[in-house]
Amino acid sequence: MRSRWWGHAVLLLVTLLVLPFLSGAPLQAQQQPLVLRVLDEGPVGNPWAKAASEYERFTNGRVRVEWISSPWPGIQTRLATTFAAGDTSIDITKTWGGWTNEFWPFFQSIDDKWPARQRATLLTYALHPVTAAGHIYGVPRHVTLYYFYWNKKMFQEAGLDPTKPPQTYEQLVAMCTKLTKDKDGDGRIDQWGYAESMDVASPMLNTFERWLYRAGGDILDARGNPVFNDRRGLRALQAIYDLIYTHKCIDPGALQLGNPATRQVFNAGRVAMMSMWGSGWAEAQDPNRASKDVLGNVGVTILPALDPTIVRSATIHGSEGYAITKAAAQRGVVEEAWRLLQYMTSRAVQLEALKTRGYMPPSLALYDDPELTRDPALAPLMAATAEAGRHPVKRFVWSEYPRLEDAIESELQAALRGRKPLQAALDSAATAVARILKGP
Amino acid sequence: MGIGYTRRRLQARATPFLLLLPALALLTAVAGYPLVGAARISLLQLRINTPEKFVGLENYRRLLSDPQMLQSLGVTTVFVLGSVTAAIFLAYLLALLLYQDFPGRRIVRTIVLIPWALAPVVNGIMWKSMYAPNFGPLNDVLNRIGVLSQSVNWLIDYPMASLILAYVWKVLPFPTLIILAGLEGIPHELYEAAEVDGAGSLTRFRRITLPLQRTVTLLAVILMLVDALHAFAVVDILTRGGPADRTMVLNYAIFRTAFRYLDFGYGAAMAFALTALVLVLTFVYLRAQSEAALATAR
Repeated sequence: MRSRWWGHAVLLLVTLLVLPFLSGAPLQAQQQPLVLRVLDEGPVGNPWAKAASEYERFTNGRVRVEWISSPWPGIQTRLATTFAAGDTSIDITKTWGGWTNEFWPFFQSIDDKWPARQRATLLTYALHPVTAAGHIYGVPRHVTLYYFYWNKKMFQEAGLDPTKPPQTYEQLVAMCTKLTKDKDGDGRIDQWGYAESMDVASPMLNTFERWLYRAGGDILDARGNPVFNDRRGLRALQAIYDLIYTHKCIDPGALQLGNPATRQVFNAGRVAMMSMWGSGWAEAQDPNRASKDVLGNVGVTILPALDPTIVRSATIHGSEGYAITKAAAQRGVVEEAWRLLQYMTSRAVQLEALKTRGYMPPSLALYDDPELTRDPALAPLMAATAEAGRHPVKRFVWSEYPRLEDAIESELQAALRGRKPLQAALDSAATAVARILKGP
Repeated sequence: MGIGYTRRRLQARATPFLLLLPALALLTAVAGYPLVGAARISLLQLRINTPEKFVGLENYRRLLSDPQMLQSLGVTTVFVLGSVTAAIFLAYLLALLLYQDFPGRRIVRTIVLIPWALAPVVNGIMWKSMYAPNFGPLNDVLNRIGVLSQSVNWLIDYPMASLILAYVWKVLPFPTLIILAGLEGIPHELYEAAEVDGAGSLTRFRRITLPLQRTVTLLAVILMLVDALHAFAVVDILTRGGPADRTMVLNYAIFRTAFRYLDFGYGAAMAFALTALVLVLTFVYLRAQSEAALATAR
């Protein structure tokens, strides 16, 4: 009995080994799909992840995309540990200017794939997120700026012209004060004039930067020395401080609000004006997020000037892209990675990202596309983006961005909480930044 | 008393070690290897974009003179002492309440466990909403009952107190259970005899409960101290160590140094400093436990 079992088992094994050769299809010869590993958020709700899975079908299974999912803050940690450990498990990663400046030695330069004529098809700042040390490391996927939003219905109720948002700081202050109301007369403000996110996670530095650039200042000078504590920096910080404490038309609670919470208070109809990323527009159009008084009543434009004699407007851009890693080069899959990224950032995907998530396309041509410029749901945001492009700003990024960010924010928070005089806080931050830049 | 006897004795002595060997091998692989790796890293200047360099004990020397490290130690002390004191005090109140015989006691005991079962991240998000200045329930309730006349920025104006409250709410069931288990172990006759002798409830608590609960309380305190030193999620979600580093507890500072500033060598040295602190506490706990065991045996 036992020997018969053995006999069957040996026969089965031999058959399994021989069969592929008899059928003319050796096991080794069967083509395995080429795997590309992408680190990014999602894949749920991520239009680029959707495009990546479409690409798998487009290649008839020749390429398989492995989506390594991570929330936004986790991506930096993941990259740091991966690169520090010499791990080669990421071929493509989502990136922005800060990360590209931090990790570019681990990214593969692909300058040759970006000839000048190709670059000319993009918005001027679109390549910033994938550029560092004079080289390009990937493909931009979207640009997103800070815009100014206002609630037209609240403007009307306050006797203001709903078609005319503020263009200067003085106008902003006047409107902000008028729009700040105690509606039910209980002694507490229940409608604030203006909101900007100032939470450390937002981050606060972004808010300061927007005012600083409009004051004509910068974080570092051309030689890399901190200059944000000069009179322009003070003017920028004073502008924020005054809106909170002198004009009392920003809720001091804004110091605790990040971007999502700021959008929430605006969409709940508790704030009349706000500065926000492009996501502010998408959410204000969404009936599941915006209250009935907000839905269909929101306008969007560029940020008002701090001093129109200096600069009409300035913003910061949160442009993001995908970088190809050196691990991809080691595996010899840079060409495949490039082809995948071309597909993931094609016109169709840019349009989907714009329509579903409010991510602005990096391609210049789309800003003249009549289908988009006539679409009432998109036209205002497209126009504001094009207008902001006329006041370009090279956003501050540095290889030690998180450390600098923390050093500056810590002092800004102290100043805006009234714990430190504004100039003293800026000076302390500048000293800390200089120390960090000098190195250990 | 021949060779056979010696061999049997050797076998008897070696058997426990042989039985422990698989577990020890696993522990060495899982805990020992990374520990040695981290110890090695703590002796290096290891940053993401610079070549690796052996610096000996330089990172540890830097720890002693780093003002941010000293500030972080101060913040950690306030957080740990505040959390543990509040947690033990509240745990006693809760345990004494749950010790009483009342209808639905089992259900209440189960409900009390809910915060402990929550994921730390969920707890953080929940408290972030509670503290929201504009639409948070905390401000709303306090405004409605007249305690506040205007909304408070809890995480800006009272960051440490807010952090401690959120943390204690989450961990409270743990010391409560330990203390409750201790209370259940005290013979009821002692209370009855004391009552016959005319001792009031406060005297009974002071003279019977507290002395007999000493070991249990110590256990709860030490375990809470260790847990509080490891608090991370609540800090990450509520304050990220801010504003202006006022809640930058050591555990979060380690994360920031290693994974945000990418200074792995110094981060590893900081982690070892924290480990040393935890080891000291563990040693104190073990010592106290053995003393208590000796006292019981006597």
